[in-house]
Amino acid sequence: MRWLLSFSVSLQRTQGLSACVFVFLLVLGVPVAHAQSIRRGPYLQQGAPDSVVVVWRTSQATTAQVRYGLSPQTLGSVVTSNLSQTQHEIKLTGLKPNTLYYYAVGTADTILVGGDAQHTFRTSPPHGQVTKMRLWVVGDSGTGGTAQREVRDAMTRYVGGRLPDLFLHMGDMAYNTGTDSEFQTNFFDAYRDILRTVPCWPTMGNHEGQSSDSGSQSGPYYDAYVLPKAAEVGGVPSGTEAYYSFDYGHVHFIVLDSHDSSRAVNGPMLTWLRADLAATKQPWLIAYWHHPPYTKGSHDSDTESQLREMRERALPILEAGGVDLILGGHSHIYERSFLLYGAYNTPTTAAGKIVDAGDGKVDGMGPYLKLQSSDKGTVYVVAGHGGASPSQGPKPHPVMYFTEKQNGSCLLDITGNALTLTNIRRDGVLSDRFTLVKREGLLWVSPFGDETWAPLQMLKLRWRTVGRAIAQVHLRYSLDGGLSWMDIARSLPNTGTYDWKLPNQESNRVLLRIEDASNPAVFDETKGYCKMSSEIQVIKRRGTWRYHASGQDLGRAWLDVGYDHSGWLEGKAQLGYGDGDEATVIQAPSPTPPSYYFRKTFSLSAPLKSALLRVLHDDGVIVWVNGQKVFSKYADNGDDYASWASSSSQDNEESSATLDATALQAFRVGQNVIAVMIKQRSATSSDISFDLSLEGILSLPPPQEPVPEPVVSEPSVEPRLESSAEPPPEPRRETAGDGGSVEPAAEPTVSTEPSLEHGTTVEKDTPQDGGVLVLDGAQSGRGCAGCETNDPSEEIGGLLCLLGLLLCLRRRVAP
Amino acid sequence: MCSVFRWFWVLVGLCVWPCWAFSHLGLHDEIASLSRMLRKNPTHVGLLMRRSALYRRHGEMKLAQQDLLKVGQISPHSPRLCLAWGKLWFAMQRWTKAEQSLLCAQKERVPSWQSFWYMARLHRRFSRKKEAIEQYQAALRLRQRPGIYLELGGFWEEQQELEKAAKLYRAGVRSLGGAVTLRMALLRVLRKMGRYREAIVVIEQAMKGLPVRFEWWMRRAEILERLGKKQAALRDRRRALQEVRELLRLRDSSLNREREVRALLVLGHKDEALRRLRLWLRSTPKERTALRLWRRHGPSKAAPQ
Repeated sequence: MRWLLSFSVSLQRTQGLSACVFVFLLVLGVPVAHAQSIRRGPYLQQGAPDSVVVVWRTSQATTAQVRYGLSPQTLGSVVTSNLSQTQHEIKLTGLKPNTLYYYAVGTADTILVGGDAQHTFRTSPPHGQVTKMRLWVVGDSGTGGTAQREVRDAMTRYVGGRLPDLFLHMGDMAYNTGTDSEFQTNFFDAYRDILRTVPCWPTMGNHEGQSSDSGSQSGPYYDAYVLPKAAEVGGVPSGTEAYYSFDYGHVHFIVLDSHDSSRAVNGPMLTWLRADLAATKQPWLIAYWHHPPYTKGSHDSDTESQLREMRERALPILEAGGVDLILGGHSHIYERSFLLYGAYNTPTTAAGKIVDAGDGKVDGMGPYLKLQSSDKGTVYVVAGHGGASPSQGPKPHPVMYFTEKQNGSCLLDITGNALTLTNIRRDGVLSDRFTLVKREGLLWVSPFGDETWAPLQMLKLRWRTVGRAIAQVHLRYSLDGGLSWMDIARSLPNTGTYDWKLPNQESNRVLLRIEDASNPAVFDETKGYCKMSSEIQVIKRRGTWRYHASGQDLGRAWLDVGYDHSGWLEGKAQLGYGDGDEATVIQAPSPTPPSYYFRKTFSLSAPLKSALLRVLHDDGVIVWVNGQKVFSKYADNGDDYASWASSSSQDNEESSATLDATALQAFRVGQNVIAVMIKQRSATSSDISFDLSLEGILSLPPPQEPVPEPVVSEPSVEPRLESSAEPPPEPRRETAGDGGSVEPAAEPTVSTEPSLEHGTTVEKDTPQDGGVLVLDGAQSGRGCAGCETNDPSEEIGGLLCLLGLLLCLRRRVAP
Repeated sequence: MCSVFRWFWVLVGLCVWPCWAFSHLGLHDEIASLSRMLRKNPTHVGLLMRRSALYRRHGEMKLAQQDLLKVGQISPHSPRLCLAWGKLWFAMQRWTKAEQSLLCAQKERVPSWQSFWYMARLHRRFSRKKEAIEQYQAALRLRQRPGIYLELGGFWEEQQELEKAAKLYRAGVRSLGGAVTLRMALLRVLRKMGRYREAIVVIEQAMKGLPVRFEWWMRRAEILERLGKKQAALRDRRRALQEVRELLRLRDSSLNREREVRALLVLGHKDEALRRLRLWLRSTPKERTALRLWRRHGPSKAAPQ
């Protein structure tokens, strides 16, 4: 545009003003002629088995349309709203449960965005169906800052390609006062890629409450969200969006408003709560609201009115109703309780209120159990660490098992009768995990999920049995996210462990399953997809190393594969001293020695055909594998102990090298030893640093296609949490409902009957109208990052501008 | 003697004050947070209004007034300023001033439903029945909210205008998607009026689609009994008992145990009910609901060992 403006200025100097004004107006007119752009979204609300609400906001008032279908090329179903407005809320109905749909949004005339793999939604499973699900729990994230982004990225890295099924937000999503622009930048922009695929179920925090009001259901919070008030997604009608409930699979969620709504015992909210709890028979009950009943983080639940009132008034109702898990935010910290019951007093004491004082860890003291004979207990989690700066009181809360003053978020995995919550810190570390089991069960201890393995490697499978004795188990695996299963072992004695040689296959959707051989309804699956790949992380950053830093020359023996380094110290990388960024600080001997020793063992299931070595070092470094030198830098003075580095490195210098064929020959199938020597530049050097990672690609024989078992397709509708005295269950349906996100086969036409709402029109597809749109993916360039438009008015505006220019030129050349 | 009396009250105050003070500590944090923001932006009308509201809830009326006076200086025609004054005067029980401010709020271009709601409460306080009802109705026209329906309905019930209360609750159920609190209020009124058949219709509408119907079966049984339909009432109660026993297999919660005991008692199986209570108290001796039921129905007040 700038060149047009400068051109018009030069024209002004040479000829009449009017033509140039015309050009100027045309230039200005281009944005006017330029049509809609997306300002917010699209995002998903009220996900149900047969419906979903798609919401988005445009720059100008316009009609709205959603196109959707079972593939990006067949968005054959259309719902249109003829109301001209900027906030669009379109409900799609008549959908199939647990089905992946693609969608695109726009006006009645044009598509603005969507129709690709990034714009999808999966409908909920039928209410009551035992379902494997993964939920993301975030609270107090709305800073728009680095911590919030890192928390989000840590989650997406961990889950890999499969985003959670639901996004539960504990409130305070838009600091400082929950204005519309704060919502835009600190929530909708920050989570855009997640919100367009994953329905969000929020509760209002006190910061949103400064601009929004539950009484009048007004303000940016209520403008943004479309929440149920007439039991649209299960539960009992509340008549208000401030508090509501919904079902997803075999879980009933209750969302309360601890900020604005009356917390009186006989007030509308708690009266509705009693009725709602009385009306559900879902096996799992999860409740959440903003102000946690127990916390000693940045808030104190013993002294603050909203927290105390929720504890004293709401908890007795919830615990009597058998709620299993209560989540909260507000306090900028992560806290996780024991299994509790009846701790309503102020100040809260733990004596006599802890049902299970264990750690709740499957690989520790055991999961929390809610057996039929004693179904009491609730675990409380404060997840207010999603972005705001964490802080903590002087002492942890007495009912909390674990407290951590670090930003992060939680993943909630529910598989059949086991619920597992994992805390993922912003740096990706999984700092806490607990499991709650109902009745009996089999629980995977290792692997849990979200791991990467190499084909043909040996993997130790470990599991735990709870509730009753199980004599024999079946072990199975899937390479396609649960669509089909192959046997690892059948009718295995239930010893809790099995060594499995992985098949020679590659997949990024591997699941493992363990079943009671006499009752397959008792089972567990690994939570997230695992990956089997020839591309492996042989050695990870921040791994554990043995090190020797005593200032002693160990000669060459330390390079031998058989050398015994068990007497060495051990620590996590980064190792070193002097920089203040070490995970393990090595005690600096005096005088400063020239060299420090590091060793590690690792295993390979096949030869390497390529490898990339990355080393963080200060100063010089030499790397040996199985006694053969494969890499060195700043070590020209020699690789013996006494030689100093030939040059200083930068602080925490990172070097990388693709190992050549000779170096690759050093690696062997089975156990390997990597030995690293870090060299100081001189005796006056004040620091050392070391960390190392090794990525490789295995050289595998051609894969043999496994023969999956025939699939039995019968839905399992009733929750199976009862004892094995029950008659054998119906055959399990081996579809995406049991753990994959796989699209069903595309149907030739989608003939839906969306319900007519005020101002909407429905267009049915015809066999000729199967494929609707193709987007060229072009950016609009109108200050809307990620927006895509396919707007013909852009071209028309350009043509008009050109016409104006031509007119100017014509006047100039005319006598 | 006087000084002892005086010190007694000081002592009482010292004991009572922490309860009051601690109950407001959460608000204090929010006030502090707003104050920090106002230091950077001292003429931000929205923040001043918000802080004034928090001061009011915190009981710091003078500080609340100061903030509103400042808003009046910065932006005399600020929307909702009159409403804020109305709420403040109401909290301070300065009724005349409250009424004036609320009237001012009602004259705004887009009046808030709260201006009518507070006015309704003010009229109600002074037993101005007709005016209170008009104000409640005006609030409802602006905002459909369960709380307003329940307040106005409760007011009708106090006045023994049960027909009007029933009509109001019905309208609320219709407009709020079947809000259960309004259904329950409607049911209560219909029972008071002896309109049992209509009450049964309300119950059947409430039950539709619910996975658990225990409470509604029990309510319907009670009404059927009043209509003289004892067999039908017995069937409902048996259904309720069967349902709660299935629920207990699924979730052995206090709620389900209590329901089982209630169902057994109303079916006349007192011995069985007490046996279940004993088992319940054995597993959780301090369970308050179980203790309450035992004290009411057990052979002695003392809990069984």
